[in-house]
Amino acid sequence: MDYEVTSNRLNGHKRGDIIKHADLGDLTTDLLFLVEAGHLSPLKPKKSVKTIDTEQKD
Amino acid sequence: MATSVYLSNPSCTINSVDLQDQCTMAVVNYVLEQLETTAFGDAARKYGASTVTSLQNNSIEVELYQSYAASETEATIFGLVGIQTTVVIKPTSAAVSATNPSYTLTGCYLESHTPINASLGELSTLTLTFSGGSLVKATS
Repeated sequence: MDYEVTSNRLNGHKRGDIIKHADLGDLTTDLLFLVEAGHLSPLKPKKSVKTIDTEQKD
Repeated sequence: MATSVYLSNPSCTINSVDLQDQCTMAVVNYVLEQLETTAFGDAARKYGASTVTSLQNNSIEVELYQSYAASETEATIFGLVGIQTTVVIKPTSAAVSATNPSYTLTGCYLESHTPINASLGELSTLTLTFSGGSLVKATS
């Protein structure tokens, strides 16, 4: 899962950066702590858009 | 020539969160427990040996200004009580080098926190002690 950086305090990252768990190095706590503290926000995966066939059949 | 080093621009990172601008004091204690290796035939007590590896008993103490604002001190620290985390201290915020080593205490434990420590007319501060964990010094 990807996370958006939501504070300017996350080591080595800026607000707005999109990062993964591995980008935080040897973090020994759960990422939830950083989410609850307001430093990260989980990004929900976007669903692919379904295409609709608008051509009329004969 | 003797030189004195003081932390004028230290880097203090707790659980990957940079709290440099809230930090006023940092103490890194690197301890290898003293094990006695005195044996028959010795004329004096001895401790340790090249074949003896004692346990590390490290700690890091930091003093921070308290702030209840979003993503600041309280929000970052409160959830860390009672669990293991990682603390990194550098003398300056510059890149890690032989003259600016970083000290990383991994798996240290925060036993207590004082969410309110306030007196009239004074800035609220808190002192945290992170105990245990493995200390690594990096110079590059």
